[in-house]
Amino acid sequence: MRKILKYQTLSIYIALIIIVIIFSCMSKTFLTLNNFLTILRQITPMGIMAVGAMFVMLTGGVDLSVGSEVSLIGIVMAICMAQKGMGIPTAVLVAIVLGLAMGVLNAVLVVQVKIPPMIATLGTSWIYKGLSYTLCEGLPISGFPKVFSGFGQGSIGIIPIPIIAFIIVVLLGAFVLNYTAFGRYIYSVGSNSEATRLAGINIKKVSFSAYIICALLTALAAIITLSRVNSGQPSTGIGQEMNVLTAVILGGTRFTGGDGKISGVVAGVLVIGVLSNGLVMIGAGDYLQTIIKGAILIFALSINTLREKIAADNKIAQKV
Amino acid sequence: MDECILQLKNVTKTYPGVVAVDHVNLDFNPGEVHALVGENGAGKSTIIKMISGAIKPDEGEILLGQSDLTRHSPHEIRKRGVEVVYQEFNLVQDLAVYENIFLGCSLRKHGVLLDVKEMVRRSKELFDSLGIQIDPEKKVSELSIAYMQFVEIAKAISKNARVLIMDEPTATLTDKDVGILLDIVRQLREQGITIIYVSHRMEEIFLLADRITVMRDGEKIITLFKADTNRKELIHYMVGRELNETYPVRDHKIGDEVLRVENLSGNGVKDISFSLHRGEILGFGGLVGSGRTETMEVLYGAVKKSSGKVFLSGQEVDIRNPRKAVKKGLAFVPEDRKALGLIMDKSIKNNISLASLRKYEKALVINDKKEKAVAKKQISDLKIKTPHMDQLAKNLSGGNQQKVVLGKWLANEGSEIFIFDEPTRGIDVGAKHEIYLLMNQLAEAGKSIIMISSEMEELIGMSDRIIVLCENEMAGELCKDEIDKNLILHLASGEK
Repeated sequence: MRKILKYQTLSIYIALIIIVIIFSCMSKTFLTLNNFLTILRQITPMGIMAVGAMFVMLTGGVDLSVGSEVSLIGIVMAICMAQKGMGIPTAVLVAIVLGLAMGVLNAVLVVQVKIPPMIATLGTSWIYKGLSYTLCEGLPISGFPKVFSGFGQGSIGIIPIPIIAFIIVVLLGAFVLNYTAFGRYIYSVGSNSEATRLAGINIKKVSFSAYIICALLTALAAIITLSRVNSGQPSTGIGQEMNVLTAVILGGTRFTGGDGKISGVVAGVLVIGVLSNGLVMIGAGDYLQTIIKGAILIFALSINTLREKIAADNKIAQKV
Repeated sequence: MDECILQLKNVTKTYPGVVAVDHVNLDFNPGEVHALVGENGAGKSTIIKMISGAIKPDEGEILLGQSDLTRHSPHEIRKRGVEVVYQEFNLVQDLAVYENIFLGCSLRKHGVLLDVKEMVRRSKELFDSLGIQIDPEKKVSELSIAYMQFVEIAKAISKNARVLIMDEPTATLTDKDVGILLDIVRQLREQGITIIYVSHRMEEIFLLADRITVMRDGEKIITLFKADTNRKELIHYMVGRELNETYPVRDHKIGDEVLRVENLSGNGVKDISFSLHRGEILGFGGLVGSGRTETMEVLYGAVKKSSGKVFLSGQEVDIRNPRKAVKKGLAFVPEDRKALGLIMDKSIKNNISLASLRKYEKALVINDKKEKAVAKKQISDLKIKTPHMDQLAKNLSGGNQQKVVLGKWLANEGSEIFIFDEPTRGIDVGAKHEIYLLMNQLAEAGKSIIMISSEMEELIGMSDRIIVLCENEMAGELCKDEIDKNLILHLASGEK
């Protein structure tokens, strides 16, 4: 048991393989190249958001508003292109600015006003959700310039463009976390914010930046989603935060911050993606999927806490 | 000899890679104070944990009277009258003193209603029997640290303890409170309770103990009657080598003024003024809670000041946050190094480089070689005992942890003024000496040091000058030739 927990990333990949085998036995169309690419396409927005959400969680925070942000950004972009006649670059710019604004709001509430992050972002997520429905009056918006769908649906060779975007985000994330001072500070703040502050580091700036990064990556995910679906719908992002959160925690990121690896998060994203897809393939309904996802989140968190407990036990054991 | 109440027979406990306790035989008599001494890592804590049932020995048995404790759970062992008072308090801060004492076994009348009156009365009785004055209806959070400790002891006694284990009970107490604690322990001995007393402080061990057992590297070295031994011999047994407990000599070269604080207020403290010179060690004495740490928090920018001025080399500066303080050359070595000084779940290397990380950055990327070189230098300069620099901070002993905190500031070459808050708290004798040497080296190299200490000997032995605080205000300042233990106590107690 201890060993399993120690090599969590590896265990998740093993779990992934087992899940794939199970689904392959249950559905003939599951293990095909086509479906494989579909899964990859499906997980991209979630994966990109998960990298952002991981930054936030590493600092000891959490962002529950990412799902609603995807909806709102999608709707606003859709309105810009379909109703206001804006070009793609302008619409993309609007999406980024909007993402930035939402990130700043989350950050101000958590870092400056000091509202517990779970509550603050739950609150903003309802504001964003309500705004998306208000703006489009609950109706889907379509009719974008033709080229726009090329981003989300096109491929370079066999590899879909969104996948390339995801890979770039993962590599950039890994680079920032592992090789820059800022990345080191992210971990330090999550492990012990007061000691970090006393070492002369601006911890507010670090946490603030994490929320901004998360929101900007969410904006990218929103653009990809809108382009893939080719229609702005207020329900697009609903519940996405649940998938993202589960993937990040399942991937071994410590819920209270300070510990976690990008490779783990990628594994978590793959598991959630394969499960979502596989459950549809074997004909499991929406409701069953919801139950399973809730169970996985709790399972992942239990592992997380167990790991902390074992670490604490070891600490006592070593203090001879 | 009396029939012993508690006996360890051939007890062994191993962890991967270490033998924490190696075939130890120990016996404790009823009504004796038995001191357990040894450096960190000697095996004292493991023995305590095995007696209290927190961990089980691999071999051997622990007998309480006739029954073998190794088969029982910690809860059952407590029921049999073995209580531990740990360094970290297990009190509920927001509850009243009597509620804490009766926590989990509150008295009731008519089966439902809490019998507050009776609980308060019994608490009072309990305190009287120990010879201490505590109002049982006060909230625990309103008590001083020393009195919280006393409540903790009273709580343990209220459960009819036969054996009381005290783990470093005086680590956080000032000399005055230590005196009260010693009286309490003597009272308990009178009542026939066996006390196992773990401490680093030689002074109180010799005041209190009947017998002393020395541990080293998991082995019991010797058990001595107090009358048959002395400090020097004991230290010799502890470290296995001769060690001078006197404070290392330093070449005093006190230079220009580097820091002047004028009427600093905020964070509870009022009107603190002092100056600090190059090459000087300025001691801060006073009782726990007299405002010494609070003063330094304001000076360091960790807490906002409400008024007052700070000058660095004659220039007025506004230190609004720790970041500013670090930029201006201040370095803070806090008392609670685990919570404030270190990032426990990160490596030695990461901890050492934390304050100076930006300096190794080139085009956004941390220069790995440079960072490692700096960490390596600090590890060897400070003689941090570790197999490698990737060892996590939490796996180090107290002395080595303190060195890592110091290494963090030395790696940041701009550090000029070092604030040490209780620099040797919870650190064993050998490592203590090393910390003193390091402080001396810093002073000799022209750095300036502020040292808060509650250990009178350390304060007097290390300081060039001493400021004494009392109830958040200045009580006095003593130059080198005025320094005197009684005078400091007098000032700290606030007697006019």
